[in-house]
Amino acid sequence: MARRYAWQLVQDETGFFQAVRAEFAALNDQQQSDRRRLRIAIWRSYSVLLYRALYWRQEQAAQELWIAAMRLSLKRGFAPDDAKVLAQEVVCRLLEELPKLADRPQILLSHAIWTCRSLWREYWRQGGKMQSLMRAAADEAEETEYEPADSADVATEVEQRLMDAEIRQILEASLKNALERQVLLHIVLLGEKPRDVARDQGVPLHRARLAKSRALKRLRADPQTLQSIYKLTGQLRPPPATRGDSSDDK
Amino acid sequence: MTNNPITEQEAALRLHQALTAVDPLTPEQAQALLPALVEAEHAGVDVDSDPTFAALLQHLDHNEESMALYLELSEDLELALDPAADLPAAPVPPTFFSTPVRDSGKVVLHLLPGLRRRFELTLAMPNLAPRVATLGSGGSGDQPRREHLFSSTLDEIAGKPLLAVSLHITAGVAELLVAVRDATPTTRWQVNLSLGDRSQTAQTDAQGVARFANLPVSDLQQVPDLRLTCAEVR
Repeated sequence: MARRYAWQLVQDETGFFQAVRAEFAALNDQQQSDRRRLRIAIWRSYSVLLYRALYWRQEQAAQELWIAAMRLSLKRGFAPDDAKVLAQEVVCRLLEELPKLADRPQILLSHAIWTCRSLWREYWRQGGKMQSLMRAAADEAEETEYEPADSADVATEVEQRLMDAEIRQILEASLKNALERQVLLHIVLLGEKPRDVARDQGVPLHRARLAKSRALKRLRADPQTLQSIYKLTGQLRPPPATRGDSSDDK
Repeated sequence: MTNNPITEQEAALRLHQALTAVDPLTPEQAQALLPALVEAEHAGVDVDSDPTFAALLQHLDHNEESMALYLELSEDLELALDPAADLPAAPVPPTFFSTPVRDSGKVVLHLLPGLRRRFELTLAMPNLAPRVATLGSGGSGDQPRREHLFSSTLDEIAGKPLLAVSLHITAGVAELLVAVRDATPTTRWQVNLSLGDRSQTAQTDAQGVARFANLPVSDLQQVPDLRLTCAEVR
């Protein structure tokens, strides 16, 4: 990672390795490989170094962040001149936002990526030159559909857990996407951890969350389906109106 | 996976609750929290059991734009962490802090690059020791007083804003006033004040003044200088 990002801030190697070890020990997800946890531990430990160096206005820290932002922007298809300006803006915004990170300097690098992403979106909204190309790439990433793993086996298991298949029929009629249906079943109905469901379905965690969100949106969009589900709850009072849905439904 | 049996009624209740739950956050509130969520997920934190993220996770079930941002950030972080991902080479980076446009020793002014106007001013801390009352002074030495730290038009910056910095001291407590006056009266500036290893942020008001109140003079006396980082707000 140091070669990849030209990191040069480590003066005290022993101290840095101790910090990495502490971060590694704190990463409690045993399902991740050791290599992945180690990368995250290094990422977080180096973030702390960058935070301190930026706070004290060390040129090296600003330049390393610029390099990272520049490379990510180039990777996303920005022209070199545009990427340079965007990378400069990323560094300056991080300087402004350093006080917000005082309690958690470990997330500085992740926050830098977030700032890149925010800037790209601003750039597109303002009609940047690369707008059409970047929009196509972003839309493609969002619309990628994942096929669930072992869908037949999972469906059988759900049937065995529910005494009556009526709710399953409602979901099958309303949710044509198998991943959405199974993610909803396991996370919402059966109360399983999204991370576990994502692993079982063979998709990244964020894709499982997206599938759940889309499933809920589809069900909310059909009042008859909502009524059918409500009837199955056995409650006597009519369902409350859905409030505060701020999604951009069209 | 859980092995607890569940009736259809219970399942329907859970689903109905999920479908009728309200969105607890505005998009702006949610987007401020997204980096922490993604960072925590990548670090292996069980965010679904952490109350800190409950409202945000519920919001993501409602708001498409926030969900899209969450996806993008997750994928960007994945790319950054992936050792196999091929990132383009970057040219030699620019300098950010090395060359001040003003440097008198007590006053150092840097211009910062980027899409907005930004500058950073470092001012040597004046002597804030209480003044000793003299026979001719007619009172105690600990009277309220004002220290003018800086006042100048910043010709080096587009729009040539006027910047004035002063300390108002009363009974061992100071208020720092930072006035940035522009040709455009509606322009606001975000001002970060750094004193040693601590920092605060304030924004200029309608009169162009950012205020930092309740600064113990004893704390100010511990640091050799104060640093103001000013960024135009749009």
